[in-house]
Amino acid sequence: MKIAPSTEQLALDQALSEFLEEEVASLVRRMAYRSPYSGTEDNREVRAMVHQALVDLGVPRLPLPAAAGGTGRGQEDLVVVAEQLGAVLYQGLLPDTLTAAELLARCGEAPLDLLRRIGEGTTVALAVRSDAPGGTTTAVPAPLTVDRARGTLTGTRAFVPFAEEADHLLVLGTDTDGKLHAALADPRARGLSRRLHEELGRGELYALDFTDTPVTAWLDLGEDPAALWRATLDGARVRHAAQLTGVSRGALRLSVERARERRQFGRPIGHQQALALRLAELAARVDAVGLVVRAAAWEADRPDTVGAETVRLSAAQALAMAAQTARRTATEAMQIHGAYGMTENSDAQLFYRRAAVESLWLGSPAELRGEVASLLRARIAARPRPVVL
Amino acid sequence: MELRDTPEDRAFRDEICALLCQEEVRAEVAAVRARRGGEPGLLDVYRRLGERGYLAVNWPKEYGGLGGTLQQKTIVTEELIGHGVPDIVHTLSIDIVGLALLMYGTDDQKERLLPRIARGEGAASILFSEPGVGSDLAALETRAERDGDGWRLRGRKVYSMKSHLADFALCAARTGESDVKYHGITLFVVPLKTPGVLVDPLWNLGDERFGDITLAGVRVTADDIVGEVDGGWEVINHVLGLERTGVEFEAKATRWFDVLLRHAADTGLLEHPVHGPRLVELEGWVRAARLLSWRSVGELAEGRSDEVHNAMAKLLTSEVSKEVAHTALDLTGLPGVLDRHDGRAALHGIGEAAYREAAGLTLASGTSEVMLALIASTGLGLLA
Repeated sequence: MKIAPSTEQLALDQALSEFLEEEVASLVRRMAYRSPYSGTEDNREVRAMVHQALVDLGVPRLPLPAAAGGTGRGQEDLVVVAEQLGAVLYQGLLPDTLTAAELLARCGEAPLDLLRRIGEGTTVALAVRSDAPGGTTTAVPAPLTVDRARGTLTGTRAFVPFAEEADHLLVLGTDTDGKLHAALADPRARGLSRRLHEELGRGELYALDFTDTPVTAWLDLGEDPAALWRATLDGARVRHAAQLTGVSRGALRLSVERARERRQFGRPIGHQQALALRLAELAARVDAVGLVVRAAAWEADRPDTVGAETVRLSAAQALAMAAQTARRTATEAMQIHGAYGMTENSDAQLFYRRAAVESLWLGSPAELRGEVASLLRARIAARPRPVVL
Repeated sequence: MELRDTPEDRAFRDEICALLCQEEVRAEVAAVRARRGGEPGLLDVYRRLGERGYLAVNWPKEYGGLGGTLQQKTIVTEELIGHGVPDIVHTLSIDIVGLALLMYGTDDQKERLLPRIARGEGAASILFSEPGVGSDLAALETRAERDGDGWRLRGRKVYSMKSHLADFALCAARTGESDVKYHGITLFVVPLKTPGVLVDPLWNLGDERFGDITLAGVRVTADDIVGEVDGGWEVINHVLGLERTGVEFEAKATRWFDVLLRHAADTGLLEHPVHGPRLVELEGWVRAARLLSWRSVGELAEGRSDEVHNAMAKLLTSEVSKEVAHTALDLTGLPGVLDRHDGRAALHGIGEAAYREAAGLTLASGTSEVMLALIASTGLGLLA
């Protein structure tokens, strides 16, 4: 077993951290943050600039097949990017675009042209959840009424990121026949209305209403659409786990800086053991979670060797751990920043807000652990009994 | 990253497994476990591994190893513990004392002392802690007094394991006074089966006794010094740092958790609304602990050991082991406190023994608090 990252991964990490130096990082942290108290400036240009920079770094091309101009790299490389972006609280269309690209690449007659354009900067937002009870799970896309003959779909979707500025919507849904359907739609299509959610993260999440909305293309999800989506979701979960690990790292960094600078009782608060040792434990836990995520990425890149069930188990486990740790780290950041941390100026409250939303994004830790329990049972049954003497 | 063993390591692991699954080995381990009041010493299984060069597989051939990798040594530790074989003699003799001699010993010391422990025919112990000295080891009071061309050691050492059956020990004693307490400490190889050393038992929570050792003027010479005179602190720190990969702790966590998870699956507790999610959460941390250990092993093998990474590994592997032991009690209820001599013990008494052993894991090789302070200071730049 070898834990060290590859030379390519180290180079990718280095390139990302050079791009995300402090000046850019402070822009990224607030590029989608809508505060009612600091004006309603639209940071769309900043978001476009950041996306273009990621395109220039070759990030959206990483998972694409060579036929679409991609480099065919796997989750092991993508998690390096996701962790760096999480650390600066990146909020944009890259995660959904990557998930869409992986789904599209798995489709029958993969739309190479669209994939190529994704590599060049085209963005996609996923419309997969509803806000009905139980509808936020991504494991099974929410209900949707499709009319293949007329080429339209009807239904509601919630928590769709940046639905206004995405180039495409990828709508997934389960029709009354119990079958999973997927279609691409134009975010400006007729019969589509949207409303910005008002939410804890204060980001750009939309509720969408589709009423006989025309689609631009139906996607061929093959013989087992549910399995295709689940495999795609496993990859997305691994990347999201990495993003959450990044959120933890960012919150920890912020806390350590604060602990070194803030003075009380005549010395930095970081001289207090009570505080320093709590941060030390978190640092160890965050490192540990980072390794679990990278191990899950390694497995996700080798489904034929390790088996789809192992990929699913590890992805869910990594995401549950990363989510819980991110929330814990962000909560600690609030404590260490004191009342200042609660003010609009402080980034601590940004981490706290975003940790909540991101920790639920692709399944809450409780939901994920439920999935893991049944997968664990199958795994135990397949293994020899431990030697007991 | 490469999560699998290399093909060579896989073959090596299979070979170790096959050896540990032999009928004679299983019978020996079962007999040791069944004995009341006794404790495992130099088991025959050590000799079986030792005669093939497996026990200290990463040591050079001339000292009884096979010139193998650190990863292979890690595999030996994982498999010993995974098969329920008592491991403390192995950890002390090979991983700590052996490592110190290999790195800092003279050629004569290596030739004289290493082959016997590599063959599993002899054991070594450690004499560091004293009644008033634990984490603050530099405050030790055992003295080495000049006696002609040698020294005589006087003092008391406690909490040492296996000294009653070891041939020699690595002992830290003060040779010089200094304003800086880290100077003036020297490491000696001390024979234990000699009239100048008295080994009494200190019975404790675990299955294996501590030693209460009186050094009553045992004589040592320059040939017995490991490292430099007055320069023992550097050796202690370096060796303890290297030894903190936490492999034996992750292996214990994995072993105990495997037994517990199988029990939960057999009894339906994996579906229990409270126990199920708890077990799943723990599975993640057992996984994480192993990865932290292997990260440290890999860095050590490449000569770029990182003391903060090692502290993280030692901290979490031992803390996770403790969590597994406590969870085992919760899952099994009162039958979980029955020990292995009671026919009705849950988990064959493994949970009961784990609970007792776990308390020491976050103390041995540097307490959790020392690890946390190291991460906070060296890793995060806090505390000073």
